[in-house]
Parts: sequence; structure tokens; C-alpha cells
Amino acid sequence: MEKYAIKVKNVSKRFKTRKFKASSGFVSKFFGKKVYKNALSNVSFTIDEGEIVALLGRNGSGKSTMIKILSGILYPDRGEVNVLGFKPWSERIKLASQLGVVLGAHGQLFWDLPAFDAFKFMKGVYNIKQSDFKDRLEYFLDILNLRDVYQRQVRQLSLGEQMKCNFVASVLHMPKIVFLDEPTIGVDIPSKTALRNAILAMKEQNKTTFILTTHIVEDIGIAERVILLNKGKLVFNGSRKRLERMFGDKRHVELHLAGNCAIEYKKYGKLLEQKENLVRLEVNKPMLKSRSFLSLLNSKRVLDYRVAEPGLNFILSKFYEQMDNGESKGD
Amino acid sequence: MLELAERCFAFVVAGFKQQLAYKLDNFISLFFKIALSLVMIFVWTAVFANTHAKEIGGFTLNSMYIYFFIVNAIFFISYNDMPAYIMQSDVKDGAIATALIKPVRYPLQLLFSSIAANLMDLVTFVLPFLAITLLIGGITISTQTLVFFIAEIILAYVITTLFGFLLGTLSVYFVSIWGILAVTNTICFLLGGGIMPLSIFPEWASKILVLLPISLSLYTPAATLLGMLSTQSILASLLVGSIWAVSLFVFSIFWWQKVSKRITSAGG
Repeated sequence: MEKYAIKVKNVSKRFKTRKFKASSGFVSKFFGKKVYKNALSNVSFTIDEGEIVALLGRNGSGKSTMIKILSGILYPDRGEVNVLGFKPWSERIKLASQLGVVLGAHGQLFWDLPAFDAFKFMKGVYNIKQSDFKDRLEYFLDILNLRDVYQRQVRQLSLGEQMKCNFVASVLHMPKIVFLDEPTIGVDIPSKTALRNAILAMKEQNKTTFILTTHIVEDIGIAERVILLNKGKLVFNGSRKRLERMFGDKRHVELHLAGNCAIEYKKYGKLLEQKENLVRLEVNKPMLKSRSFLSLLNSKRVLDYRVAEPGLNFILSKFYEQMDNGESKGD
Repeated sequence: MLELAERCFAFVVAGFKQQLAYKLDNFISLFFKIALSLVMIFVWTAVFANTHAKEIGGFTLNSMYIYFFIVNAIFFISYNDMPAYIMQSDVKDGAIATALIKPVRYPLQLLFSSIAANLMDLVTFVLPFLAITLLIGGITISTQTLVFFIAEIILAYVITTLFGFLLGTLSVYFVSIWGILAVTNTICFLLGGGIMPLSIFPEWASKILVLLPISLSLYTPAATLLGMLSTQSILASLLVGSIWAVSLFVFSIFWWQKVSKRITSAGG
């Protein structure tokens, strides 16, 4: 029997907006042209219980719209959505206790109050037992290093501290599904690691499902699966490994040159960057074993070199580039 | 049911804490609230002085003073436009998205968030100010009058909260509704008896105005305390108010179902 935490079938959503000419005069500012934007077009996917999925895409690709439809805030124009057995927009209140949503840096916090008051507020709103509240709060305060922070007014906290407190407020009720929108933006490196560890621990201990929208590549690292949206259409749905393998024939080579020496990079690959004596090239994997390239690496012109697999940043850029050129690598 | 009560109570507590966040501001705003009645006192002193009248619309100068002190006190609990302001702000900055994913219906969130502010006003300003006014004015009130007065205030609170909620939903269409709220508040203040008692209006106008729910929030409770209304007209006001409250409640349910489908927040 199929058991999904989330099932989305042929979902479409269109928004009506007004477009104003940049050069138009004062009067025409009142009469923008009515335009329709397809935020989502026939999107279908499923997400299993306890899965961590990265929902990726460029700005305006439909990620936020999808999250809002899944959490019942928006109604789709067409299609079916099932989240934990509920139709989100018509059974939003029933579903709400089982969802955690992290939108922005302080969405769940009160700007003028200490974060602790928001935690207490969540305790009441989600009917969390006092003993559970205490245990969970202690746990999160420790692993996210918030002991010196949570009793201070939110407006006095740094962006990273707000993000961490907002995360705690959103998951104190131990939801079955958590939507995270850019959860580590502005967070320092140790805290980023702590946040990611907290997510992994919640998945392990409670089989919590996480849907993550982010532009930070390191965050995608914790996702088992990637769903990629482009202009409202689903263009990739598969494991992170599979996404990485899609451009697996490319390697990045960093060369430290001995002074100004003329090298014809074109015959080896694509020049990505050149800064004084440092050169970065994108080459096809077989090129690394070619005689001409090996002789370049061993020549006196190259003092040192480093070969690396392209990172997710590069892969995603390539992917978007292909989308713009009309090629699709979707399922 | 208990769970829902606990959830709603959380909004009241959070609202209280937010009210208490800036104590000096709260303290200073008390003076502003008192100053509001002084403005009307100066205006009506001038009116009486210039017309040389001993009574206008059934009010002597002294009873006019007391009327405006009472109106000014009860205004802060009988006229609740906070749902409109909270909703406008939520729609503007996208916070409505976070509010909608809470396991409490959004209209209830608006109600309980505003209750906190109104209770705060009740304790810190309305009750002391009203008590001092009645004491200095030498007004004794019977139990029956007190019951009528409380019933009118509660009914007015329900009506204006629903009205504020309906106005707030306009922000889903127009985003900024500050101008609409400024206009409606001024009209409600005028037609509710906040600038002059309704008995001063021409007879045909005051007959229409008492049929409108807004008179329940200012003129009717103040006139009830002053003993200027008969039991029959008080009961008639309560009946009219109840019909308005039920109608607005039914319409609000229908309207919210329609409006909530149109909600879009920051980022689509």
C-alpha cells in the first residue's frame, strides 16, 4: 500500500498581477496592464515519511507557492494535494498541528518580546505538555547554543540568533512535517552545523519529514532527494547523487602558474577564472589523462595544481543554463 | 474544547506581554486618553457660553461634561477596530502566512489578540476613569442600570469586532486600508455620539441613528449610565444590536470563506 507523507498530482496555480511600464508617466502608474503568471504548471511528486527533500529553483520558480499550497495557505487552481491524509486548504486547522513552518528569520517570534515568550506561546497554541515543553526546550537550547540568547528581546538578537530561535519555535510541538525556507541564512558556521544536526536528529528520532527550500549548497547536502522547479514546472526529481552525476564528466582544475606565461587554455577546456597567476579551468574528465594536458601539468610553467569534482553550485548553474537553452533533464 | 480555550488564551497572554513591552509609552498614552475628553469639554463649554443655553438636547453643561468623560472612557473597550489594523499589517508584511498555519482560525486569532489590548485598557484606564467620573459627578447607578450598561458594552464590542474584521478583510484586496479605516472610524465616532450626543441630532436623524449598531458603542451606554433612557428604549437598543451582531456574524463566516481563497502573501 502506498504511504506518502505528501502527494502532489498535477497542481497548477496562476496569479494575476499588474505590469507597469518603467518609463510610463504618473497617470499610467494607476493603470498597469493585467498579466497572468503561471506560478506552478502541472507539478506532481510524492514525498515519503521521514524523508528530507530539497525543493530548489531560482527566484520566482514556484517554490514558495508550492510550500504555501502544501501548508494550506494557498488554494491551487487545479490538481490534487494530500498531506498526511488531509486536503491542506480545506482541512488546514486539522493539519496545522502536525506542520512546522519556518518562513523568514523571525516569523514565529514576537519582535518586542524575548524568544522565550514565543516558545511559551507555542506551548499554549499547540497544547504541548509542560514536561515535554521543558525537555524539548532544554534539548534545543543546548544543541543550538541559545542559553545566553533566548531571554533577550528578539529585536536585539542577530539575524542568526533569530533564525535559530525561530527554528525552535517552529518545531517545539514536534510536527510530522517541517517546511524550512532558507533555514541557515545569516547563521554562523558552527550554528549552521548545529541546525543541520538538529534536523537530522529529528528525522532519526521522530521520522520527521523535512522540505527544504534554500540557495545554500551546504544545506542541500543533508537532503536525500532534490526536486527542482523552473518557471513553475518540475524539471528534476531524483536523488542528490543523481543530480551530481548528471554533470559528472566535468572536472575543475586549478593551476598555479609560474609568472606570466602564455597558455592556450581553449584546447584543454573552458576558462572559468583567471586571477594573476591562478587559473581555473573546466575540463572534460578524459582530458585529465590526455598526453597534452599531463605534459602541461608536469611542465615548469605550472607550479602546482588541484583537480576537483564540480560542486552543487556549479551543477545547478549548469542545470539552469540548460533550462534557459530549452534542454530538459527531468524525470 | 479545553484545548481550543488554551490555544486562544495563549493569544491573550502574548498580547498582554506585547502591551507591557514598552511601559513608558503605555504610561504616556494614558495622558493622551485623558486629554481626548478635555478637548470635547473645551468645545462644549464654548458652545454653551456662546448660545447662552441652559440645556442642549436634554444635556446641561455639567451632564455634558460627564457624558463626554463616560464616552471617552468606554470608547477604549466598546469600539474595537484592532482586528482591521492587525490584519492590514499581517497582509502587508506577509505575516498572515505564519498566522494561517497556526491551529487556531485566523478570525479567532484576531479576536483574542485584540482582547488583550482591550483588557489592558479596561484595567489601566477605563475602570479607574469611569469610577472617578461617576464619583465626582455624584451619579449613583442601580444594579439594573449596571447590568444594562455591561450588556450594551459587550454587544458593542462584538459588533465592532466583527465590523473591524470585515474592514480588515479589505486589505486582502487593497493591501493598505489606512485611509478606509480613518474615514470609517471618524464616521462611527460622529454617528455613535462621540462628538455630540445623538439627542442633539434632528429627531428624524436620531431615530435612524439608534437603529444603527454604532450608537451602542458610545451614546447608548453613556446615556444609560446617566439615566436618560427608558427601560423600553434600552431593551429596544439591545434587540437591534443583537440582530446586527447575528447578521454580521453570519455574513463574516460567509465572507471569510470567500476572502481566504484570495489570500496571497509575500513571495506568491
